[in-house]
Amino acid sequence: MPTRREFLQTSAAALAASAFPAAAQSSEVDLLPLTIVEAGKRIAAKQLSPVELTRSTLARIEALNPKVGAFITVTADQAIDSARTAEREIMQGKYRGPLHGIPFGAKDTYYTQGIRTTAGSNVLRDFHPTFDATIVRRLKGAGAILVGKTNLPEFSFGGVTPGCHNPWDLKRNSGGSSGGSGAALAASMLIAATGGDTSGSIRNPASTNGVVGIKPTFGLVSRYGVVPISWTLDHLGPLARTVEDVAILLKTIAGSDPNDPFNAGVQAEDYPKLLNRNIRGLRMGVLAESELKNFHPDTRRAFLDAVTVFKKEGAEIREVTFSDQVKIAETSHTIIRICEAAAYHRQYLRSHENEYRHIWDKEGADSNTRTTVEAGMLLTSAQYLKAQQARKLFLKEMYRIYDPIDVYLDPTMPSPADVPARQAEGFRNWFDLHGFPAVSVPCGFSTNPAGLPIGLQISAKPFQDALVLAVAHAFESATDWHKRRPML
Amino acid sequence: MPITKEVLKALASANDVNIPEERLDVVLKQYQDYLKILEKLDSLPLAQESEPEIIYTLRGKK
Repeated sequence: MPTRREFLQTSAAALAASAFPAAAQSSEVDLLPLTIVEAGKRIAAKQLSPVELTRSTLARIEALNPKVGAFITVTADQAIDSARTAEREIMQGKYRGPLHGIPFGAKDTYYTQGIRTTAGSNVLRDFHPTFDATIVRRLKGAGAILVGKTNLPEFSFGGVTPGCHNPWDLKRNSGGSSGGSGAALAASMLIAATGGDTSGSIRNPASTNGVVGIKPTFGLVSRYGVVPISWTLDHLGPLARTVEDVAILLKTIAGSDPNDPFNAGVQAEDYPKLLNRNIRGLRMGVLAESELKNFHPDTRRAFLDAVTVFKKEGAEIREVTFSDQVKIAETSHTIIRICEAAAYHRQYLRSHENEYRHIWDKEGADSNTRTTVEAGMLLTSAQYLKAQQARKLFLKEMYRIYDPIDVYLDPTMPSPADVPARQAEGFRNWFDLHGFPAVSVPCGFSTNPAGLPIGLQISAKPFQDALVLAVAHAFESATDWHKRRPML
Repeated sequence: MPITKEVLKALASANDVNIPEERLDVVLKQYQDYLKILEKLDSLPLAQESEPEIIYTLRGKK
Protein backbone atom coordinates (compact mmCIF):
# COMPACT_ATOMS: atom_id res chain seq x y z
CA MET A 1 0.00 0.00 0.00
CA PRO A 2 1.50 3.41 -0.90
CA THR A 3 2.04 6.10 1.70
CA ARG A 4 -0.21 9.15 1.51
CA ARG A 5 2.71 11.27 0.29
CA GLU A 6 3.54 8.79 -2.49
CA PHE A 7 -0.10 8.58 -3.40
CA LEU A 8 -0.57 12.33 -3.64
CA GLN A 9 2.56 12.63 -5.77
CA THR A 10 1.31 10.09 -8.31
CA SER A 11 -2.15 11.64 -8.32
CA ALA A 12 -0.86 15.17 -8.86
CA ALA A 13 1.41 14.03 -11.65
CA ALA A 14 -1.43 12.14 -13.28
CA LEU A 15 -3.73 15.13 -13.11
CA ALA A 16 -1.12 17.40 -14.61
CA ALA A 17 -0.73 14.99 -17.51
CA SER A 18 -4.45 14.58 -18.10
CA ALA A 19 -5.78 15.19 -21.59
CA PHE A 20 -9.46 15.37 -20.68
CA PRO A 21 -11.37 18.66 -20.55
CA ALA A 22 -10.79 20.57 -17.31
CA ALA A 23 -14.40 20.09 -16.23
CA ALA A 24 -13.80 16.35 -16.11
CA GLN A 25 -10.90 16.74 -13.67
CA SER A 26 -12.01 19.54 -11.43
CA SER A 27 -13.13 17.68 -8.34
CA GLU A 28 -13.04 14.38 -6.55
CA VAL A 29 -15.54 11.95 -8.04
CA ASP A 30 -18.44 11.01 -5.77
CA LEU A 31 -18.11 7.24 -5.80
CA LEU A 32 -21.07 6.53 -3.52
CA PRO A 33 -23.85 6.51 -6.13
CA LEU A 34 -21.62 5.57 -9.06
CA THR A 35 -22.16 2.44 -11.16
CA ILE A 36 -20.22 1.06 -14.12
CA VAL A 37 -23.05 2.12 -16.41
CA GLU A 38 -23.08 5.69 -15.10
CA ALA A 39 -19.29 6.08 -15.04
CA GLY A 40 -19.02 4.51 -18.49
CA LYS A 41 -21.51 6.94 -19.97
CA ARG A 42 -19.70 9.91 -18.46
CA ILE A 43 -16.30 8.66 -19.63
CA ALA A 44 -17.62 8.05 -23.16
CA ALA A 45 -19.00 11.60 -23.20
CA LYS A 46 -15.62 12.90 -21.91
CA GLN A 47 -17.36 14.32 -18.83
CA LEU A 48 -15.36 12.09 -16.49
CA SER A 49 -11.67 11.46 -16.76
CA PRO A 50 -10.47 7.87 -16.20
CA VAL A 51 -7.48 9.39 -14.40
CA GLU A 52 -9.72 11.31 -12.04
CA LEU A 53 -11.98 8.32 -11.46
CA THR A 54 -8.97 6.12 -10.72
CA ARG A 55 -7.45 8.77 -8.47
CA SER A 56 -10.70 9.08 -6.52
CA THR A 57 -10.96 5.30 -6.24
CA LEU A 58 -7.40 5.06 -4.92
CA ALA A 59 -8.06 7.89 -2.47
CA ARG A 60 -11.12 6.13 -1.10
CA ILE A 61 -9.22 2.84 -0.84
CA GLU A 62 -6.44 4.61 1.01
CA ALA A 63 -8.90 6.24 3.40
CA LEU A 64 -11.04 3.17 4.12
CA ASN A 65 -8.84 0.11 3.71
CA PRO A 66 -7.36 0.42 7.22
CA LYS A 67 -10.94 0.14 8.56
CA VAL A 68 -12.35 -2.39 6.11
CA GLY A 69 -9.37 -4.57 5.18
CA ALA A 70 -10.66 -5.29 1.69
CA PHE A 71 -7.34 -5.12 -0.17
CA ILE A 72 -4.16 -7.14 0.24
CA THR A 73 -2.32 -5.20 -2.47
CA VAL A 74 -3.05 -1.81 -4.05
CA THR A 75 -1.54 -1.18 -7.49
CA ALA A 76 -1.66 2.62 -7.43
CA ASP A 77 1.20 3.43 -9.81
CA GLN A 78 0.23 0.89 -12.45
CA ALA A 79 -3.41 1.98 -12.16
CA ILE A 80 -2.59 5.64 -12.77
CA ASP A 81 -0.44 4.68 -15.76
CA SER A 82 -3.27 2.56 -17.20
CA ALA A 83 -5.77 5.35 -16.58
CA ARG A 84 -3.58 7.78 -18.48
CA THR A 85 -3.42 5.34 -21.38
CA ALA A 86 -7.21 4.91 -21.33
CA GLU A 87 -7.70 8.64 -21.30
CA ARG A 88 -5.33 9.16 -24.20
CA GLU A 89 -7.07 6.45 -26.24
CA ILE A 90 -10.50 7.93 -25.60
CA MET A 91 -9.31 11.39 -26.58
CA GLN A 92 -7.99 9.85 -29.81
CA GLY A 93 -11.42 8.38 -30.52
CA LYS A 94 -10.42 4.82 -29.61
CA TYR A 95 -13.19 4.17 -27.10
CA ARG A 96 -13.36 0.45 -26.34
CA GLY A 97 -16.72 0.20 -24.58
CA PRO A 98 -18.42 0.46 -21.19
CA LEU A 99 -15.44 -0.80 -19.18
CA HIS A 100 -12.92 1.58 -20.74
CA GLY A 101 -11.39 3.58 -17.91
CA ILE A 102 -13.31 1.71 -15.18
CA PRO A 103 -11.24 0.69 -12.11
CA PHE A 104 -11.64 -2.89 -10.89
CA GLY A 105 -10.31 -5.12 -8.13
CA ALA A 106 -9.31 -8.76 -8.63
CA LYS A 107 -9.54 -11.38 -5.92
CA ASP A 108 -5.99 -12.22 -4.91
CA THR A 109 -6.25 -15.69 -6.41
CA TYR A 110 -6.24 -14.17 -9.91
CA TYR A 111 -2.80 -14.19 -11.53
CA THR A 112 -1.65 -10.66 -12.33
CA GLN A 113 1.54 -10.31 -14.31
CA GLY A 114 4.35 -8.94 -12.17
CA ILE A 115 1.97 -8.17 -9.29
CA ARG A 116 2.11 -10.25 -6.12
CA THR A 117 -0.63 -12.87 -5.99
CA THR A 118 -0.89 -14.46 -2.54
CA ALA A 119 -4.24 -16.31 -2.57
CA GLY A 120 -4.39 -14.93 0.96
CA SER A 121 -1.64 -17.32 2.08
CA ASN A 122 1.77 -16.78 3.56
CA VAL A 123 2.86 -19.74 1.39
CA LEU A 124 2.54 -17.51 -1.71
CA ARG A 125 3.77 -14.30 -0.08
CA ASP A 126 6.44 -13.81 -2.78
CA PHE A 127 4.57 -15.19 -5.79
CA HIS A 128 4.63 -12.83 -8.78
CA PRO A 129 2.94 -14.50 -11.78
CA THR A 130 4.43 -14.06 -15.23
CA PHE A 131 1.05 -13.74 -16.93
CA ASP A 132 -2.48 -12.49 -16.31
CA ALA A 133 -5.43 -14.79 -15.67
CA THR A 134 -7.71 -14.98 -18.71
CA ILE A 135 -10.34 -12.91 -16.89
CA VAL A 136 -7.84 -10.20 -15.97
CA ARG A 137 -6.54 -10.16 -19.54
CA ARG A 138 -10.06 -9.77 -20.90
CA LEU A 139 -10.96 -6.98 -18.49
CA LYS A 140 -7.75 -5.13 -19.30
CA GLY A 141 -8.45 -5.70 -22.99
CA ALA A 142 -11.79 -3.96 -22.51
CA GLY A 143 -9.92 -0.99 -21.04
CA ALA A 144 -10.62 -1.67 -17.36
CA ILE A 145 -7.99 -0.60 -14.85
CA LEU A 146 -6.68 -2.90 -12.13
CA VAL A 147 -6.42 -0.98 -8.85
CA GLY A 148 -5.71 -3.83 -6.47
CA LYS A 149 -6.01 -7.40 -5.23
CA THR A 150 -8.76 -8.15 -2.77
CA ASN A 151 -8.64 -10.05 0.49
CA LEU A 152 -9.81 -13.64 1.02
CA PRO A 153 -9.37 -16.53 3.47
CA GLU A 154 -6.18 -18.53 3.03
CA PHE A 155 -6.38 -20.23 -0.41
CA SER A 156 -10.13 -19.36 -0.46
CA PHE A 157 -10.89 -21.95 2.24
CA GLY A 158 -13.94 -20.78 4.19
CA GLY A 159 -16.71 -18.25 4.36
CA VAL A 160 -14.98 -15.78 6.67
CA THR A 161 -12.29 -13.41 5.37
CA PRO A 162 -9.67 -12.63 8.04
CA GLY A 163 -9.26 -8.94 8.77
CA CYS A 164 -12.05 -7.96 6.38
CA HIS A 165 -14.82 -6.00 8.05
CA ASN A 166 -18.36 -5.68 6.86
CA PRO A 167 -19.05 -2.07 5.79
CA TRP A 168 -22.59 -2.34 7.17
CA ASP A 169 -21.25 -3.12 10.63
CA LEU A 170 -17.50 -3.06 11.02
CA LYS A 171 -17.69 -5.41 13.99
CA ARG A 172 -18.89 -8.14 11.65
CA ASN A 173 -17.12 -10.07 8.91
CA SER A 174 -17.59 -9.52 5.19
CA GLY A 175 -18.15 -13.21 4.48
CA GLY A 176 -16.14 -15.11 1.96
CA SER A 177 -14.28 -16.29 0.33
CA SER A 178 -14.48 -13.30 -2.03
CA GLY A 179 -15.01 -11.14 1.06
CA GLY A 180 -12.60 -8.39 0.06
CA SER A 181 -14.38 -7.89 -3.26
CA GLY A 182 -17.81 -7.77 -1.58
CA ALA A 183 -16.68 -5.36 1.14
CA ALA A 184 -14.87 -3.07 -1.31
CA LEU A 185 -18.01 -2.75 -3.44
CA ALA A 186 -20.25 -2.09 -0.44
CA ALA A 187 -17.83 0.54 0.85
CA SER A 188 -17.70 2.23 -2.59
CA MET A 189 -13.97 1.52 -2.81
CA LEU A 190 -14.73 -0.22 -6.11
CA ILE A 191 -17.47 -0.33 -8.72
CA ALA A 192 -16.28 -3.59 -10.30
CA ALA A 193 -14.70 -6.71 -8.85
CA THR A 194 -14.05 -10.39 -9.46
CA GLY A 195 -14.49 -13.42 -7.26
CA GLY A 196 -14.40 -17.19 -7.15
CA ASP A 197 -17.11 -19.64 -6.07
CA THR A 198 -16.47 -23.25 -5.04
CA SER A 199 -18.89 -23.44 -2.11
CA GLY A 200 -20.77 -20.16 -2.51
CA SER A 201 -17.84 -17.77 -2.34
CA ILE A 202 -19.20 -15.19 -4.79
CA ARG A 203 -22.80 -15.37 -3.59
CA ASN A 204 -22.00 -15.37 0.14
CA PRO A 205 -20.14 -12.03 0.12
CA ALA A 206 -22.60 -10.57 -2.40
CA SER A 207 -25.43 -11.31 0.03
CA THR A 208 -23.48 -10.43 3.17
CA ASN A 209 -22.35 -7.05 1.82
CA GLY A 210 -25.53 -6.08 -0.06
CA VAL A 211 -24.14 -6.24 -3.60
CA VAL A 212 -24.72 -8.37 -6.69
CA GLY A 213 -22.64 -11.40 -7.68
CA ILE A 214 -23.10 -14.17 -10.23
CA LYS A 215 -21.65 -17.66 -10.26
CA PRO A 216 -21.91 -18.36 -13.98
CA THR A 217 -22.59 -21.80 -15.45
CA PHE A 218 -19.61 -24.11 -15.00
CA GLY A 219 -17.55 -23.89 -18.16
CA LEU A 220 -18.83 -20.49 -19.29
CA VAL A 221 -16.01 -18.43 -17.76
CA SER A 222 -12.36 -19.47 -18.01
CA ARG A 223 -10.62 -20.52 -14.80
CA TYR A 224 -7.18 -20.25 -16.37
CA GLY A 225 -4.59 -18.44 -14.28
CA VAL A 226 -6.42 -18.54 -10.97
CA VAL A 227 -5.19 -20.35 -7.85
CA PRO A 228 -7.70 -23.21 -7.51
CA ILE A 229 -9.43 -24.97 -4.68
CA SER A 230 -11.03 -27.73 -6.70
CA TRP A 231 -10.78 -28.11 -10.46
CA THR A 232 -14.27 -29.53 -11.05
CA LEU A 233 -16.08 -27.24 -8.59
CA ASP A 234 -14.38 -23.85 -9.04
CA HIS A 235 -16.38 -21.12 -10.78
CA LEU A 236 -15.21 -17.56 -11.42
CA GLY A 237 -17.40 -14.55 -11.89
CA PRO A 238 -18.02 -10.86 -11.32
CA LEU A 239 -19.43 -8.81 -8.45
CA ALA A 240 -20.75 -5.26 -8.74
CA ARG A 241 -23.44 -3.04 -7.24
CA THR A 242 -26.17 -3.58 -9.83
CA VAL A 243 -27.31 -6.43 -12.06
CA GLU A 244 -26.64 -4.41 -15.20
CA ASP A 245 -23.04 -3.82 -14.09
CA VAL A 246 -22.58 -7.54 -13.45
CA ALA A 247 -24.04 -8.26 -16.90
CA ILE A 248 -21.49 -5.93 -18.52
CA LEU A 249 -18.64 -7.64 -16.68
CA LEU A 250 -19.90 -11.14 -17.52
CA LYS A 251 -20.22 -10.29 -21.20
CA THR A 252 -16.56 -9.28 -21.16
CA ILE A 253 -15.12 -12.25 -19.28
CA ALA A 254 -17.27 -15.14 -20.56
CA GLY A 255 -16.53 -17.27 -23.60
CA SER A 256 -14.31 -20.02 -24.84
CA ASP A 257 -10.71 -20.44 -23.72
CA PRO A 258 -8.55 -23.34 -24.89
CA ASN A 259 -6.36 -22.89 -21.82
CA ASP A 260 -9.17 -24.09 -19.52
CA PRO A 261 -9.81 -27.84 -19.99
CA PHE A 262 -13.32 -27.54 -18.52
CA ASN A 263 -14.32 -24.59 -20.65
CA ALA A 264 -17.53 -25.42 -22.49
CA GLY A 265 -16.64 -23.51 -25.62
CA VAL A 266 -19.84 -21.46 -25.35
CA GLN A 267 -19.67 -17.87 -26.53
CA ALA A 268 -20.73 -14.99 -24.28
CA GLU A 269 -24.17 -13.58 -24.92
CA ASP A 270 -25.05 -9.89 -24.89
CA TYR A 271 -26.21 -10.09 -21.26
CA PRO A 272 -26.89 -6.33 -20.81
CA LYS A 273 -29.16 -6.29 -23.87
CA LEU A 274 -31.05 -9.35 -22.62
CA LEU A 275 -31.90 -7.85 -19.22
CA ASN A 276 -35.24 -6.31 -20.07
CA ARG A 277 -37.32 -9.44 -20.27
CA ASN A 278 -40.95 -9.61 -19.24
CA ILE A 279 -41.19 -12.13 -16.42
CA ARG A 280 -45.00 -12.49 -16.60
CA GLY A 281 -45.84 -16.17 -16.81
CA LEU A 282 -42.33 -17.29 -15.92
CA ARG A 283 -42.42 -20.54 -13.93
CA MET A 284 -40.59 -19.90 -10.67
CA GLY A 285 -39.72 -22.70 -8.30
CA VAL A 286 -39.30 -21.39 -4.77
CA LEU A 287 -37.90 -23.14 -1.74
CA ALA A 288 -40.92 -24.47 0.14
CA GLU A 289 -41.92 -22.68 3.36
CA SER A 290 -41.45 -25.95 5.24
CA GLU A 291 -37.76 -25.84 4.28
CA LEU A 292 -37.38 -22.27 5.55
CA LYS A 293 -37.98 -22.95 9.23
CA ASN A 294 -34.29 -23.06 10.12
CA PHE A 295 -33.45 -19.80 8.36
CA HIS A 296 -33.12 -16.59 10.37
CA PRO A 297 -36.56 -14.92 10.70
CA ASP A 298 -35.42 -11.77 8.90
CA THR A 299 -34.02 -13.83 6.03
CA ARG A 300 -37.25 -15.82 5.83
CA ARG A 301 -39.34 -12.63 5.79
CA ALA A 302 -37.19 -10.93 3.15
CA PHE A 303 -37.32 -14.03 0.97
CA LEU A 304 -41.10 -14.38 1.21
CA ASP A 305 -41.45 -10.64 0.45
CA ALA A 306 -39.28 -11.16 -2.64
CA VAL A 307 -41.51 -13.99 -3.80
CA THR A 308 -44.50 -11.64 -3.39
CA VAL A 309 -42.76 -9.12 -5.64
CA PHE A 310 -42.50 -11.74 -8.37
CA LYS A 311 -46.11 -12.79 -7.88
CA LYS A 312 -47.18 -9.19 -8.43
CA GLU A 313 -45.07 -9.07 -11.59
CA GLY A 314 -47.07 -12.01 -12.92
CA ALA A 315 -44.68 -14.93 -12.31
CA GLU A 316 -46.16 -18.35 -11.66
CA ILE A 317 -44.90 -19.60 -8.29
CA ARG A 318 -44.40 -23.29 -7.44
CA GLU A 319 -42.97 -24.65 -4.21
CA VAL A 320 -39.98 -26.96 -4.48
CA THR A 321 -38.80 -29.55 -1.97
CA PHE A 322 -35.77 -31.80 -2.09
CA SER A 323 -35.58 -35.49 -1.22
CA ASP A 324 -33.30 -36.89 1.47
CA GLN A 325 -31.43 -38.64 -1.32
CA VAL A 326 -30.53 -35.30 -2.88
CA LYS A 327 -29.38 -33.99 0.49
CA ILE A 328 -27.11 -37.00 0.96
CA ALA A 329 -25.73 -36.84 -2.57
CA GLU A 330 -24.91 -33.17 -1.98
CA THR A 331 -22.32 -34.16 0.62
CA SER A 332 -20.18 -35.51 -2.21
CA HIS A 333 -19.18 -31.87 -2.67
CA THR A 334 -17.03 -32.03 0.47
CA ILE A 335 -15.14 -35.14 -0.66
CA ILE A 336 -14.60 -33.94 -4.24
CA ARG A 337 -13.48 -30.52 -3.06
CA ILE A 338 -10.97 -31.77 -0.54
CA CYS A 339 -9.53 -34.57 -2.70
CA GLU A 340 -8.88 -32.15 -5.56
CA ALA A 341 -7.53 -29.53 -3.16
CA ALA A 342 -5.22 -32.10 -1.57
CA ALA A 343 -3.82 -33.00 -4.99
CA TYR A 344 -3.10 -29.31 -5.67
CA HIS A 345 -1.54 -28.74 -2.24
CA ARG A 346 0.57 -31.92 -2.15
CA GLN A 347 3.69 -30.10 -3.24
CA TYR A 348 3.19 -27.14 -0.86
CA LEU A 349 2.55 -29.51 2.06
CA ARG A 350 5.98 -31.00 1.46
CA SER A 351 7.91 -27.81 0.90
CA HIS A 352 6.02 -25.15 2.91
CA GLU A 353 4.01 -27.05 5.52
CA ASN A 354 4.99 -24.70 8.35
CA GLU A 355 4.21 -21.59 6.34
CA TYR A 356 0.47 -22.16 6.04
CA ARG A 357 -1.43 -19.22 7.56
CA HIS A 358 -3.34 -16.19 6.29
CA ILE A 359 -1.07 -13.60 4.75
CA TRP A 360 -1.83 -11.17 7.60
CA ASP A 361 -1.47 -13.71 10.43
CA LYS A 362 1.60 -13.92 12.61
CA GLU A 363 3.91 -16.95 12.65
CA GLY A 364 2.39 -19.80 14.61
CA ALA A 365 -1.20 -18.93 13.73
CA ASP A 366 -3.49 -21.89 13.13
CA SER A 367 -4.28 -22.84 9.53
CA ASN A 368 -7.59 -24.53 8.81
CA THR A 369 -6.47 -24.88 5.20
CA ARG A 370 -3.49 -27.00 6.23
CA THR A 371 -5.62 -29.23 8.45
CA THR A 372 -8.24 -29.90 5.82
CA VAL A 373 -5.78 -30.65 3.03
CA GLU A 374 -3.64 -32.85 5.29
CA ALA A 375 -6.71 -34.93 6.12
CA GLY A 376 -7.74 -34.85 2.45
CA MET A 377 -4.39 -36.34 1.46
CA LEU A 378 -5.39 -39.52 3.28
CA LEU A 379 -8.53 -40.19 1.24
CA THR A 380 -8.25 -42.73 -1.55
CA SER A 381 -8.91 -42.44 -5.26
CA ALA A 382 -11.77 -44.95 -4.87
CA GLN A 383 -13.41 -42.68 -2.28
CA TYR A 384 -13.00 -39.68 -4.58
CA LEU A 385 -14.60 -41.52 -7.48
CA LYS A 386 -17.42 -42.70 -5.25
CA ALA A 387 -18.17 -39.04 -4.58
CA GLN A 388 -18.10 -38.29 -8.31
CA GLN A 389 -20.60 -41.13 -8.85
CA ALA A 390 -22.87 -39.57 -6.23
CA ARG A 391 -22.49 -36.25 -7.99
CA LYS A 392 -23.85 -37.80 -11.16
CA LEU A 393 -26.95 -38.93 -9.29
CA PHE A 394 -27.29 -35.44 -7.78
CA LEU A 395 -27.00 -33.83 -11.21
CA LYS A 396 -29.66 -36.14 -12.65
CA GLU A 397 -32.03 -35.17 -9.83
CA MET A 398 -31.33 -31.48 -10.39
CA TYR A 399 -32.23 -31.74 -14.09
CA ARG A 400 -35.47 -33.43 -13.04
CA ILE A 401 -36.27 -30.71 -10.49
CA TYR A 402 -35.41 -27.83 -12.84
CA ASP A 403 -37.22 -29.37 -15.83
CA PRO A 404 -40.72 -27.97 -15.08
CA ILE A 405 -39.48 -24.54 -13.92
CA ASP A 406 -37.67 -21.66 -15.58
CA VAL A 407 -35.86 -20.36 -12.49
CA TYR A 408 -35.43 -21.43 -8.88
CA LEU A 409 -35.37 -18.99 -5.95
CA ASP A 410 -34.06 -19.36 -2.42
CA PRO A 411 -32.31 -17.16 0.15
CA THR A 412 -28.60 -16.84 -0.65
CA MET A 413 -27.57 -17.18 3.00
CA PRO A 414 -29.33 -18.70 6.01
CA SER A 415 -28.84 -15.48 8.00
CA PRO A 416 -27.25 -12.02 7.82
CA ALA A 417 -23.54 -11.50 8.50
CA ASP A 418 -22.20 -13.41 11.53
CA VAL A 419 -25.72 -14.11 12.81
CA PRO A 420 -26.23 -17.76 13.85
CA ALA A 421 -28.97 -19.80 12.16
CA ARG A 422 -30.06 -23.39 12.54
CA GLN A 423 -29.95 -23.87 8.79
CA ALA A 424 -26.60 -25.23 7.64
CA GLU A 425 -24.91 -23.21 4.92
CA GLY A 426 -24.26 -26.30 2.83
CA PHE A 427 -27.13 -25.67 0.42
CA ARG A 428 -25.06 -23.07 -1.43
CA ASN A 429 -22.64 -25.89 -2.35
CA TRP A 430 -25.37 -27.44 -4.45
CA PHE A 431 -24.96 -24.85 -7.15
CA ASP A 432 -21.23 -25.55 -7.46
CA LEU A 433 -21.87 -29.28 -7.53
CA HIS A 434 -24.39 -29.10 -10.40
CA GLY A 435 -22.78 -26.08 -12.03
CA PHE A 436 -26.00 -24.23 -12.90
CA PRO A 437 -25.86 -20.39 -12.95
CA ALA A 438 -26.87 -18.56 -9.76
CA VAL A 439 -26.95 -14.86 -8.97
CA SER A 440 -27.36 -13.15 -5.60
CA VAL A 441 -29.17 -9.81 -5.50
CA PRO A 442 -30.04 -7.65 -2.44
CA CYS A 443 -33.59 -8.33 -1.22
CA GLY A 444 -33.83 -6.65 2.16
CA PHE A 445 -32.23 -5.76 5.47
CA SER A 446 -32.38 -7.36 8.88
CA THR A 447 -34.23 -5.86 11.82
CA ASN A 448 -32.66 -7.91 14.63
CA PRO A 449 -29.80 -7.16 14.50
CA ALA A 450 -30.72 -4.12 12.46
CA GLY A 451 -29.35 -2.97 9.14
CA LEU A 452 -27.58 -6.02 7.69
CA PRO A 453 -28.14 -6.91 4.02
CA ILE A 454 -29.99 -10.03 2.92
CA GLY A 455 -29.61 -11.67 -0.49
CA LEU A 456 -31.96 -13.49 -2.84
CA GLN A 457 -30.52 -16.28 -4.97
CA ILE A 458 -31.88 -16.91 -8.47
CA SER A 459 -30.73 -19.91 -10.47
CA ALA A 460 -31.69 -21.67 -13.70
CA LYS A 461 -30.65 -24.47 -16.01
CA PRO A 462 -27.13 -24.56 -17.49
CA PHE A 463 -26.23 -21.65 -19.77
CA GLN A 464 -29.36 -19.74 -18.81
CA ASP A 465 -27.11 -17.05 -17.33
CA ALA A 466 -28.94 -14.37 -19.30
CA LEU A 467 -32.24 -15.52 -17.80
CA VAL A 468 -31.07 -15.40 -14.16
CA LEU A 469 -29.69 -11.92 -14.78
CA ALA A 470 -32.95 -10.79 -16.42
CA VAL A 471 -34.99 -12.07 -13.46
CA ALA A 472 -32.58 -10.40 -11.02
CA HIS A 473 -32.87 -7.20 -13.03
CA ALA A 474 -36.67 -7.38 -12.92
CA PHE A 475 -36.49 -7.73 -9.13
CA GLU A 476 -34.01 -4.88 -8.84
CA SER A 477 -36.25 -2.68 -10.99
CA ALA A 478 -39.21 -3.37 -8.71
CA THR A 479 -37.29 -2.68 -5.47
CA ASP A 480 -34.63 -0.29 -4.21
CA TRP A 481 -32.58 -2.45 -1.84
CA HIS A 482 -29.54 -2.18 -4.11
CA LYS A 483 -29.50 1.61 -3.83
CA ARG A 484 -28.68 1.68 -0.12
CA ARG A 485 -25.12 2.39 0.95
CA PRO A 486 -23.50 1.89 4.36
CA MET A 487 -22.40 4.92 6.37
CA LEU A 488 -18.64 4.83 6.82
CA MET B 1 -11.40 -50.69 11.96
CA PRO B 2 -11.52 -47.70 14.33
CA ILE B 3 -9.35 -44.85 13.14
CA THR B 4 -6.96 -44.00 15.94
CA LYS B 5 -3.98 -41.70 15.97
CA GLU B 6 -1.76 -44.70 15.34
CA VAL B 7 -3.79 -45.70 12.29
CA LEU B 8 -3.70 -42.12 11.05
CA LYS B 9 0.07 -42.04 11.43
CA ALA B 10 0.39 -45.25 9.43
CA LEU B 11 -1.94 -43.89 6.74
CA ALA B 12 0.03 -40.66 6.54
CA SER B 13 3.28 -42.56 6.30
CA ALA B 14 1.93 -44.77 3.51
CA ASN B 15 0.85 -41.64 1.63
CA ASP B 16 4.18 -39.91 2.22
CA VAL B 17 2.52 -37.18 4.27
CA ASN B 18 4.34 -35.81 7.27
CA ILE B 19 1.85 -34.93 10.04
CA PRO B 20 3.65 -33.77 13.18
CA GLU B 21 2.65 -35.40 16.47
CA GLU B 22 1.07 -32.19 17.80
CA ARG B 23 -1.26 -31.99 14.78
CA LEU B 24 -2.53 -35.55 14.86
CA ASP B 25 -5.64 -34.81 16.95
CA VAL B 26 -6.95 -32.04 14.73
CA VAL B 27 -6.23 -33.89 11.50
CA LEU B 28 -7.78 -37.08 12.91
CA LYS B 29 -11.02 -35.25 13.69
CA GLN B 30 -11.11 -33.80 10.17
CA TYR B 31 -10.41 -37.19 8.61
CA GLN B 32 -13.16 -38.83 10.67
CA ASP B 33 -15.59 -36.17 9.43
CA TYR B 34 -14.75 -37.14 5.85
CA LEU B 35 -15.30 -40.81 6.62
CA LYS B 36 -18.75 -40.04 8.06
CA ILE B 37 -19.67 -38.33 4.77
CA LEU B 38 -18.43 -41.33 2.82
CA GLU B 39 -20.57 -43.61 4.98
CA LYS B 40 -23.60 -41.51 4.03
CA LEU B 41 -22.69 -41.71 0.35
CA ASP B 42 -22.57 -45.49 0.67
CA SER B 43 -26.29 -45.41 1.47
CA LEU B 44 -27.13 -43.99 -1.97
CA PRO B 45 -28.63 -46.31 -4.58
CA LEU B 46 -25.74 -45.99 -7.01
CA ALA B 47 -25.98 -48.55 -9.78
CA GLN B 48 -22.91 -50.72 -10.21
CA GLU B 49 -22.68 -49.63 -13.84
CA SER B 50 -23.02 -45.91 -13.03
CA GLU B 51 -19.81 -44.26 -14.13
CA PRO B 52 -18.45 -41.24 -12.31
CA GLU B 53 -18.18 -37.90 -14.08
CA ILE B 54 -14.41 -37.68 -14.07
CA ILE B 55 -14.27 -34.99 -16.73
CA TYR B 56 -17.00 -32.75 -15.45
CA THR B 57 -18.46 -30.44 -18.02
CA LEU B 58 -21.87 -29.18 -19.02
CA ARG B 59 -20.80 -29.03 -22.64
CA GLY B 60 -23.64 -29.67 -25.06
CA LYS B 61 -26.38 -29.37 -22.47
CA LYS B 62 -27.49 -25.91 -23.49
